Amino acid sequence: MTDKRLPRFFPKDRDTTAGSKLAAVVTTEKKKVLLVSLFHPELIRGGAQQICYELFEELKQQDDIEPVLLASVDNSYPALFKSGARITGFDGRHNEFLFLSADYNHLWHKTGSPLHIEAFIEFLEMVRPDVVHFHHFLTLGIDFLTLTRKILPDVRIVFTFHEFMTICDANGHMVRKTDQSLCSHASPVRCHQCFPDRSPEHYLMRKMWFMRHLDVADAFTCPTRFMIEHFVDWGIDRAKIHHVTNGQKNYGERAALPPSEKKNRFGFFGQFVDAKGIQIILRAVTILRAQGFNDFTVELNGDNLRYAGPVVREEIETFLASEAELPSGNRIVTNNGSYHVDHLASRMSRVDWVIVPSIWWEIFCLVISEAWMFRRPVICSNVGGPAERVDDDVFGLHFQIGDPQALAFVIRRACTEKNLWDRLVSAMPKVPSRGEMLSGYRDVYKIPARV
Amino acid sequence: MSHDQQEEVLRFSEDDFPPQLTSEITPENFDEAAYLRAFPDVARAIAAGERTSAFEHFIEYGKRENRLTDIRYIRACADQYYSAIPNDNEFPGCSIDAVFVAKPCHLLIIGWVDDQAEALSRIEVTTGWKAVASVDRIPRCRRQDAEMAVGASQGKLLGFWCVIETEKQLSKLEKPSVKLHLGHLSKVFELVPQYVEIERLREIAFEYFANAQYFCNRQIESFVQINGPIGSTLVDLSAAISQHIISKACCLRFGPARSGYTGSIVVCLYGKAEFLFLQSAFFSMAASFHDYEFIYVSNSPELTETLQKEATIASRIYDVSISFVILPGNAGFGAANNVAVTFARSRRILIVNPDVFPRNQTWAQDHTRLIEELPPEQTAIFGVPLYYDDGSLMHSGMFFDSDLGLAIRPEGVQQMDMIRVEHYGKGAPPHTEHFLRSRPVPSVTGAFISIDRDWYEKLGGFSLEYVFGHYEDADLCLKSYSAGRQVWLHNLPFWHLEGKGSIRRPVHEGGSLINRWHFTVTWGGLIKSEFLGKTPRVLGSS
Repeated sequence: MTDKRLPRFFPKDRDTTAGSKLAAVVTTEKKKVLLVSLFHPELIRGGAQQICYELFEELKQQDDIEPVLLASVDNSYPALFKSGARITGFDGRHNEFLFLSADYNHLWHKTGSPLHIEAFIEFLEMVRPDVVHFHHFLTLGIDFLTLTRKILPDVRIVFTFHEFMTICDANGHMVRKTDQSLCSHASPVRCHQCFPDRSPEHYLMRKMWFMRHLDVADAFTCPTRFMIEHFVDWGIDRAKIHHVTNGQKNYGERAALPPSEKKNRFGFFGQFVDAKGIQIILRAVTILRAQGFNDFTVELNGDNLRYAGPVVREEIETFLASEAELPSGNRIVTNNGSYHVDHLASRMSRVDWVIVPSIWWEIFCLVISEAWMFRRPVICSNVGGPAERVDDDVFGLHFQIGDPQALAFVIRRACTEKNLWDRLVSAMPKVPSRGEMLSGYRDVYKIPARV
Repeated sequence: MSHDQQEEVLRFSEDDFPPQLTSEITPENFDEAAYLRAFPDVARAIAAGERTSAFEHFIEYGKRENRLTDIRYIRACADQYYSAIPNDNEFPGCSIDAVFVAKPCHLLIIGWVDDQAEALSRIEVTTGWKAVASVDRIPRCRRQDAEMAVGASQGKLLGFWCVIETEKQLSKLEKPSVKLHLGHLSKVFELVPQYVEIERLREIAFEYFANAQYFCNRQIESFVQINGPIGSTLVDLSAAISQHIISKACCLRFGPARSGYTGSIVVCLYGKAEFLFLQSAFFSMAASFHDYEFIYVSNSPELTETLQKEATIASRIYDVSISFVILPGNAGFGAANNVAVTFARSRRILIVNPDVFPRNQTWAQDHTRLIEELPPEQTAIFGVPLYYDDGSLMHSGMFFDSDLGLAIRPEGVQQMDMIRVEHYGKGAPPHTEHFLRSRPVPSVTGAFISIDRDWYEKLGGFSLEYVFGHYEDADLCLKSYSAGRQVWLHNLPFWHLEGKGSIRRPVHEGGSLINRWHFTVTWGGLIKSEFLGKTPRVLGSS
């Protein structure tokens, strides 16, 4: 006989105790925090889901909090879409669930499936969390905030902005599609200029639509402070928005890697897409080579070049192809390809500096934390999250965003200035930990740490 | 036939006709050449390697898009099959491009005739029964292809099109003859018509009318061409279609059913589904929203499933009461609203466009307060200020003006009054006080009308004679005035993203031209005597 109290999304076949565990979630005295994540980081990699999962892991260590994770998955994993299910368990894990996204409307960021709405309602009523912490709305729906408020009127709703997607239709980058310049603010006409086939009226509605749903949140968080000003300018109540750093496990604790003697090895870590600015590095290399300055190397670590725009993609491919034709002794740039977090130590051991040449605001940039884990100073664009996190000439170096001449100058300085590397490394801050992150969220959740 | 009449009979067998007009479409009988002539986009796609053939495009898209009844295709076929008919019997060059037949009793005939010497006086259709159209019923238009074919000089409209109501229904077994009369000359065409639904016939006719070319101002010439019985035929045809469609309405209810409502927000959707959830989200932010219900009526049957889902979702998330009125076709704005009102559960109707949203979260209690506190004569029917997305004023009432249309042609100059509707305050700064104060106005836009339901019903709701949309709002306001209650404007601000709430196609342009003509004919006299200008005599300094 079926126990009707059990949720339909209960993964019976793997974890036979999960039902009672969920029941425990419902009845426990602990504060329940539901983390709603865009994707599960073990299925689809990305910064937002990684941070959400780091937080989930840290919450699990707390004896006064019971975390539940609901991570979305899209049709890139069709095997996980069980027939007739909208929410399922995940690989037999306790308190980890998957939202099987479907009928997602990418224009308005909502689902068109009433059955998914019902599934989420049932999930909320089953878990009955004290806090619902949204780490994104993509693949779920921005209107899930309003739905949450309706189903659980007294729940504390927290929303973390991982980029500017609520403000900006261009992947939340706030980079103008007209000339690739940084965008200072959104408006109906400015957004229409980036998307000429969408009217200014559409952008008024878009903002009203997002604001209508964000309005039900009790608190917002941003991992960097500069973001707060953008959101306040846009209309978010300053009293409701807080800075909470992203924290993560330190993968470099075993030992700091020794640098090279010359400190002339540079590395790029990340996606090979336009916004990450890898092309700025290649142009800087070309400039230095033309100046006759060749005594340095650059190692590229990452992939997804297929997602780059056609112009940048061609530029990168052409550069790498011509570089490969050079005699090995003349090569400066090497492409190591994609990497997993387990490869970080070996990849970091091959560089002295990490370059973050992003040509968008770059919100937090986990790569900076990862560089610091291995005691590698960061050379970064002078805007946004990197500029906020890296103090210029104190424990890192800035260069003018998007300017290969400026980057070339900084690379040359890094290679030639005596004791620069040691000075910067000696002042390098600690990497924000999961604990620091949790501490910030406890304040936002209004769940004080037990003394 | 009398001896002074000469008649030439041109007979076409079915083999002579474009096969797609008569039989099941197969690659063998599909006319690739005509399709490509008619639709250069398809030709370009084939040239670019995106398509392998016109037939492939037809199967994938063209069938759904009714491309075989598109006038460009009809003309392309006519080029091949009927064009440049030799003048071997003194009858000048002419062509029947297409004949469409629709139940119950309507024909649409499109063609051209070189009647420079003697005017086209009559078109006759016979099948053993007879339908006659007089010259007054034959709108003309410019046909440059015909001008080239016969070497006509500028100034003469050689094209014609005509909707004729026959005396009885034409069966598919009957092959009609179309006879063109030019004075004592006549020519008979025995044709195989294409049988279409009546809505499609209207669409083809209105599109043809909307795209018609003239030598002079298009608006004025349009007025001249349909002024008379043909205009009435088109209006009646459209009203009959609308009446038929709304007679098949059905209503689904979603969300909570409360014991009573202060008001019913009636929204007519066409072509865009997203406004259902957008309005539900924005209107429901008001504290007193539960006193109101939504009645959505859809003129887009193809959106039914999507709207049904969205109504389900919206009622769950926003706790709104939604009634969804489903129609089997496009009944037009007025008719759709009329039938939607019959499903309302309150005595106050708010006619609201899909692209209208409240500017503040107190709209519901503010609206209720207006109804409760103002004298009934000021709230029987009223509008509100509407704002563009840029914050400037879009509407604070409407007034009427008149254009003097001059149709200049070789035989003389024809004058016509054409009534025009304008908005007070369009583009004005948002807080321009004199546009915002409560006052009587000649009319308000149908984008937002709050009206007492009893009054609405007493007026007969919107007139069905207005095709698709446009002018029925001003018509309702003038009906109200004529029945004894002026229209008011009260300061309750809403956004209006004008023109974004639905899709607009050429057929609607044809409808708008006909509506303006019909509105002028219906209300021109009253407007010129009492309502003309920004400060009409009847409203004093308003």
